[in-house]
Amino acid sequence: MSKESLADTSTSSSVQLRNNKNKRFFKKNLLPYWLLLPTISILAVLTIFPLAYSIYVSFQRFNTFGEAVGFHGVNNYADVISSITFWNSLGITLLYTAGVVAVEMVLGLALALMVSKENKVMSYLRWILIIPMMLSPLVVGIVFRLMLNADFGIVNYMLTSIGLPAVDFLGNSLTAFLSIMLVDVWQWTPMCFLIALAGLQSLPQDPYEAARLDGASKWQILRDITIPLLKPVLIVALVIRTMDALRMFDQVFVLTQGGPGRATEVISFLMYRAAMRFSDFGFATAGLFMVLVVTILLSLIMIKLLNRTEKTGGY
Amino acid sequence: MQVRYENINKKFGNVHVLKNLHLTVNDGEFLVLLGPSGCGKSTALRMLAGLENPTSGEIYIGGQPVTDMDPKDRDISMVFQSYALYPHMSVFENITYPLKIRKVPKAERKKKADDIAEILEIGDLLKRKPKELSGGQRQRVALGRSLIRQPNVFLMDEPLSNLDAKLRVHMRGEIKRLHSELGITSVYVTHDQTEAMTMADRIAIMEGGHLQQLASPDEIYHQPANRYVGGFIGSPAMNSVKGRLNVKTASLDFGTFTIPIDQEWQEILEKRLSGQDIYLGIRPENVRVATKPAENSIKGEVYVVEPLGKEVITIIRAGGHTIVAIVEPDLPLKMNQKVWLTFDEQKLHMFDGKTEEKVV
Ligand SMILES: Nc1ncnc2c1ncn2[C@@H]1O[C@H](COP(=O)(O)OP(=O)(O)OP(=O)(O)O)[C@@H](O)[C@H]1O
Ligand SMILES: [Mg+2]
Repeated sequence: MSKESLADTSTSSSVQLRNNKNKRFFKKNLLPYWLLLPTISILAVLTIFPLAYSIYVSFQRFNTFGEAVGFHGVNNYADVISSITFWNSLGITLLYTAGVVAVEMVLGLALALMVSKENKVMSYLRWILIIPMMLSPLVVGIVFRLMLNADFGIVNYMLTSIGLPAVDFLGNSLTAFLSIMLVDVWQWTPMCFLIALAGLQSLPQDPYEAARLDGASKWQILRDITIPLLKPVLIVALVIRTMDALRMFDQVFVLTQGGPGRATEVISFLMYRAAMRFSDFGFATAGLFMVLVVTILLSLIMIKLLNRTEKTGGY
Repeated sequence: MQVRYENINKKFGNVHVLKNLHLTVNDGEFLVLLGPSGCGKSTALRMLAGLENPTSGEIYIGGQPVTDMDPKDRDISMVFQSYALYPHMSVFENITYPLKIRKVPKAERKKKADDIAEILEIGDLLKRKPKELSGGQRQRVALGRSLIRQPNVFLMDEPLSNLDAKLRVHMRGEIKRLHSELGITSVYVTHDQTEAMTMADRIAIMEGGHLQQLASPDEIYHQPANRYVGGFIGSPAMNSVKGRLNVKTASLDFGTFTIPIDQEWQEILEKRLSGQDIYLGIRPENVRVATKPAENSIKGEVYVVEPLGKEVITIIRAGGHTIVAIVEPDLPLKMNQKVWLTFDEQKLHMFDGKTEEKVV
């Protein structure tokens, strides 16, 4: 074979190689999008469209029959911001969220620490503790409404039978507010518990042994080892519970209907009423978008906190 | 403080890890626990620390029984085999955590950390987190956390296993120095015999959950209590050849050759019956190799030659046995060459053929 023909074949084969490469490049790079297509279409129908539509709705004016009668600009948002009931509800919602999330986190962690030891009793206890989470929120609300009923509820029965005065739990501003918080704590502490327990059981054991030898007491081990190591997991629970509590609706719907007065009128319920009673869908969606903004801001702060602990070496 | 294991047994399920361990570590002593992987060294150490409970038996620290005492009340510091650093704390916080627990003022903590970090050559790592360190660096942080305070007893579980050769020799020296300055009772686990020989006041050799011998490095080397210890200590390992005792001719019969027994040994062996099996142990450096026959020499053939520079390890086949010898590099040996071996009579070890215990 001459030198020239040898050179020829080598160039032609390198061209072919480049063509093949290009083909493979496109195939390789388009494939992921093809695979994503079904998911994206489902998302588009179920999430993106309703979301986009509700943004559209929040800029519309509605008449008293609930019919959209034209573009309303940012007036709905302006109405929300200038409405006293909105700020009242936002305050109640934030107070409620802060209260229940704090109590649930502390209780959940405490319970997890208590039952994290491996033995038979504890493993049954763990099952029992997560039952409330499995129930429908509406059912839970109804059960509590019966138990807290001023006239024939079991709580008042027990109070009076030991000589204490009966309390009109749902008829009094403060006790009504505490009652819906109690229901939330009862139902959602198990979730914080479960997340904390999973976190606890995946922690490395050596640092505990080292700390015991270094002379740390149980309390110091909890403060210096367990909580810092558990922080990323706890923040996840915190974010989930906060997002959930900010949009809480069921308890208020079943137990108090926002009352007495407006004492328990959380944002979701306020906006539900605006939409369902007064057919003001524009006002309701605008209000809910403002809650969404609050939720996103709070979540971002917490996620930032999480990233910081990760960067500085959380476990 | 004196440490005493009394009749300690440890079982994990039906795995019997430590068997009737009796061991006393004297006050201020540097004791090395030496043994192969899985022989129960870490388990023995962790029981002293209080991290494992013995299945039976009692442990004493400073004369006090501690078996039911919590680790934090024993005032012991330990370097873990797995380092066990606090993953969320910086190197500085890791090292000074024991001091923080003891409410040592911050300025003093800082000074002590700087001192110890300098000794361990980790001064520039103080701000990092454990996961940003190499294995050897982590190990030195673990060492630092242990050495920063003065406990009743120091426990170290293979604290230098992950360091490079040079750093290991250096740290070995530093630990030994620190020990002689502080005089704190120390138990040091290793499976590196050089470390054991160079650092120990006494060495405890363990195997299969049994304490095989407890003695000074010198005694362990020159008077191994049994065939296992003889073979475990020293590199290359001691040769051990199984032969038969012949009291009438005062010799050991190895089938293809016989070795006359020294006067000193005869008295000991007279008590034994002819025909009993005996292991003859001889260290490679006590085997002389010559290219010409001499009185009582054994004929053999060179099998492998391994030059190491200052000496040459030579493996020789003689009468069906393999014998390792260390020879001077100026002796020209080739493969398959005929050689004649003699054993240094002063340096022979004899072990019972059945129990493998030293013949006394
Ligand atoms: N928690 C445990 N459960 C069951 N078996 C165990 C446990 N811990 C140790 N063992 C067993 O006990 C034996 C001794 O373990 P140990 O860790 O004391 O060995 P070691 O001498 O420290 O070995 P190495 O030199 O490899 O560290 C091993 O056979 C091991 O499998
Ligand atoms: Mg070990």
